[in-house]
Amino acid sequence: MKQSVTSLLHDITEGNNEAFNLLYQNIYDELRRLASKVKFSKTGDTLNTTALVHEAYFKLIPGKDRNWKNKSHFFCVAARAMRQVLIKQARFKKAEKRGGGIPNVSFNDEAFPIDDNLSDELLSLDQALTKLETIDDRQAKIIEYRFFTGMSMKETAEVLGISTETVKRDWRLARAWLIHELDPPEE
Amino acid sequence: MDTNRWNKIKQIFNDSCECAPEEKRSFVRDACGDDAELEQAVLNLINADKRSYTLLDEIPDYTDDELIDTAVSKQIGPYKVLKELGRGGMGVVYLVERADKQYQKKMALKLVKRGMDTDEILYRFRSERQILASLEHPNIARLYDGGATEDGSPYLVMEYIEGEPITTYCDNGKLTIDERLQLFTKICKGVQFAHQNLIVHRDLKPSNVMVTNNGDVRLLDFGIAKLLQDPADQERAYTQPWARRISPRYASPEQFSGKRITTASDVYSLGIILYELLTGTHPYNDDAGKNTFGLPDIPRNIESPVSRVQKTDNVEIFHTRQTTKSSLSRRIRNDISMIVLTALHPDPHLRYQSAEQLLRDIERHLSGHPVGAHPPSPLYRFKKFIARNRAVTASIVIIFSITMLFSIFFWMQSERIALERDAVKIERDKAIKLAGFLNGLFDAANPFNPTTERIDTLRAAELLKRGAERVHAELTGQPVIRSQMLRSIGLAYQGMGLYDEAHSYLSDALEIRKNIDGIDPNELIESYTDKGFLLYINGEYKESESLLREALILTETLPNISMKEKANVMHTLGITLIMIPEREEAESLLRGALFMRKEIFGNEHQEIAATLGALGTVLDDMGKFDEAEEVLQETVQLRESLYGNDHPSVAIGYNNLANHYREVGKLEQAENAIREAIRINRSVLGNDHLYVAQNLQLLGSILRFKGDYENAEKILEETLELYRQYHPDNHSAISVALFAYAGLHLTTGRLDTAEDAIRESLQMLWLQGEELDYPIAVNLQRLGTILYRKGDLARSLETYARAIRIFEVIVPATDNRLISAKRMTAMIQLDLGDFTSAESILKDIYSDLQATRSEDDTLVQQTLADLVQLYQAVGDEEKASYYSGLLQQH
Repeated sequence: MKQSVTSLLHDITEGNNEAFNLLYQNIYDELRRLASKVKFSKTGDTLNTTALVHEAYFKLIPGKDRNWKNKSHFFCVAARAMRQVLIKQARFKKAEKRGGGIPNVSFNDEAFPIDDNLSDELLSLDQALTKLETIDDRQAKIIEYRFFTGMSMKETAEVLGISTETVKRDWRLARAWLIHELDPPEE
Repeated sequence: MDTNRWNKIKQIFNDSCECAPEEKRSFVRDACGDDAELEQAVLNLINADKRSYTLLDEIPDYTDDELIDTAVSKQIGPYKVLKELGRGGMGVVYLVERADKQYQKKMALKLVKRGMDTDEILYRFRSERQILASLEHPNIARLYDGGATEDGSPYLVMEYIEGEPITTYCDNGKLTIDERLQLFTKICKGVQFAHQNLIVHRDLKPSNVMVTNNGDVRLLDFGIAKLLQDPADQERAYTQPWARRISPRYASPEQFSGKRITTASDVYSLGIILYELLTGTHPYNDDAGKNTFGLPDIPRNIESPVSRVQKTDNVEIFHTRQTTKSSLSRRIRNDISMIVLTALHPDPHLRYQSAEQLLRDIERHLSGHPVGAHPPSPLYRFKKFIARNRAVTASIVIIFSITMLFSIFFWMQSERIALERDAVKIERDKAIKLAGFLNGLFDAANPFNPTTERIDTLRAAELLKRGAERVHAELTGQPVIRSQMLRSIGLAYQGMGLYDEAHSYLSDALEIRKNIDGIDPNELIESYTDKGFLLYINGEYKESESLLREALILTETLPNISMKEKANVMHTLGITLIMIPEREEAESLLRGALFMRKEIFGNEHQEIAATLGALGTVLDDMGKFDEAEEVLQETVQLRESLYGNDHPSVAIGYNNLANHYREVGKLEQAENAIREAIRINRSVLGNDHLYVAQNLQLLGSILRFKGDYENAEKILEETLELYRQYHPDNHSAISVALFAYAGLHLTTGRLDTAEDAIRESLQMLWLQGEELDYPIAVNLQRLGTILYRKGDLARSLETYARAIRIFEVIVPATDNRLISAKRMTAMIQLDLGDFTSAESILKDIYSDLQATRSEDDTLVQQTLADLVQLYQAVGDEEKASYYSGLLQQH
């Protein structure tokens, strides 16, 4: 039986794993649908993930349920979902570029276009981020939240329950680590 | 990397950030001691820190004030900031000019502080900006442009007005009362113009009414208040009116109470401004208490301007008006005081409805005419409708700007002139294009249209009304176009739940089309279907059926009927027949329609979802439960993928699924499904929409099945209340709800209440003039049960007999309800001691069932059980064990 996104959000705060999965699926589907209408490229200054996540938020959460708490939980889950949406697309793009083509790709999966360079960069970032998770999970989360949903430093601090200063410090270090990881200087 | 090591790296890196660049290296070296590897790791990070990484570096970080503070001396979009003009709760206003010097003109740029939901604000910007930008009037400051900074903060660029607020201007210039009133009429004209375009200012106050050195009046910030309103505020309880960012001293009572804001709200603000212009004081007593939110308590009775003036000792006030206390009192004594108090009436319905009415009275006063009471507003009905039905409020919508509509009408007008010049030649193509456009426009007013965006109901309703007037006035010579317009208007009304209006327009469209020679037969069929469907949703199934059967015959006889129109007729007739009920025929029509629609649209299309949904319902009604469940689940999934989760169609899907689950006894699933439907409908359509009533009714019934009688009763009473609000007295829906209510009390044992309800329901049905009606039979059956439970066996038997007589005419012998009515009759006969009648009835049932049903069918089993009981009751053990043997075989 289908549950409303808001009630799933509530269940998540109660620590319900199944609710997380359901919610994740909901948000993922919505983001994928929204993403199919956007062209992702790096010609704009930023990936417009922020707008997409917000759109999904307004779509899935009824006005009366839009409060700070729901929003931050929603965004945490959405960050992961957005990441998956982009990464899947980037992988698809890459495979396509190799000329292999992917059999059995559903219509939806190939629906939205993503820039070639961007898809490479995204895949590298995703890998590095996965590595960072094993080193410092909180830093990886900060990058994920900020990058995939456009959460501000302040919002990130609030959802993680730490100070904005700490977020800023962690961000700086994580950023440096990622840069070094992705593009180490020639020896 | 182990945690300790990472923590060390982290610590040293963080600390190094505090050092001056040239000291970093040595700091790190010291900190790492002789651990060269650690030192290298940290240095790597420090080097990386200096590099840029586009993907990460361009994520904006919005923190309110920093953003705004840095704006001066910078450029915002294509505008160069010259200086700050002021700042307030919602942001900063700058004096700007085009950076590219394209125009020399100086403009005012309002940069909005970034709040939590700016994306929604931005979204609204896009749709509203056009409308506001098109508001061209000599008394309204223009909105030129708007956009978002690179950081995502929205901004607006407006005409920069050098001048003074109207109150200051009047006092500094020592304007007389007449001069002030003259000036005030200019304000009214600006506001009136906006009201005609259905734009409400929402934040009128002296500082938004500027007078230039030339004495020109300019209204600032039209419609901006709404644009910038935090979307959450619309729903938030009004405990935080400050968040609304309106000026409390000029806001109307409804703005405080969170009620609907209309053109009359602006009138209230105008009233306060006028009060101040005349008396030099604010109508609220300044030292009156403030309520807990620090807001002025709006007095129920505003002190009349005359009495205020008489209490005033401030000679400056008289001086700046070139008058004295006594002559000022005389001047504003009658008309003016009345006008002011009418504008300031706390009940928006009793106020002037728009600036136009206020203006008219002031002008009449200035020209020495008596000031009259105004007739009830033609919008009154719509307001009532809105008050009743927040549905539309929540979801009615129009994306096109009103001005676009006007320009189209203008076009229409010139079209007419062309027609007059050359009566023979009709520029058909243009007209068709126009029709298509208007069609799109009206479609947008329909809450079921997924592509629409929000606007006020008032605006949509007004638009329709004007459209209709124009169609009547200007399209008389063009029946084809006219019928298309009438149809669109009818459908839009239908979407808003205004069925009487819809009926009249759709009927007109049909009649016109019937009388056009050489009409495209598809358009004729379309009109039949439209009206048939409206009759269907209005519960007039018989009328709908006969109309649609006529249409179905036409699709067979007229040439060139498209598959699409034929499928529409079949679908609509199919859903009507479900209600009649003619289920076998309904099923085959729906399957036909489904097939055709799949041919036309492929598998994923809203038309298919509609037919699937109906098919699921009829399968349910026919007892084909497994098939029904599959179809109904498929329907919900399809609709969710078509429309997203929050859509009335999805809610309908859940409703039907819930109904199915209830039928098959899956009560938890049923309750979940119906609650989801209710949630969706409440959030999309509002709390008291008809659909919510229908959902509630089902919820009531599910709760009843679950044994939660107390809540079931509450829910069903709420349902009835909603239905009675919605429908004329003898609409079928009320009788259906009464039927459910009676059913509930049959269970709770409040048999008198149950009997009253069912008799009221029957009364309504009889009033509709049908004798052999399925609902009547079902109601009689329920009445029979109630009487039986009351112990009135004779009347119960008689009632059942009447029900059975009707059933036998209109349903097949194996219909569930007919059989259960017969079983009850047998049981009553048995109670009455008439064993022979009971036996023959049960045997008849059994043989009817054997012919059509499998042996393990529930009804068959129940009948067998009845027979066992019957023979046991009369002590015929042999026959009893024979039937009980049959029963146990399955």
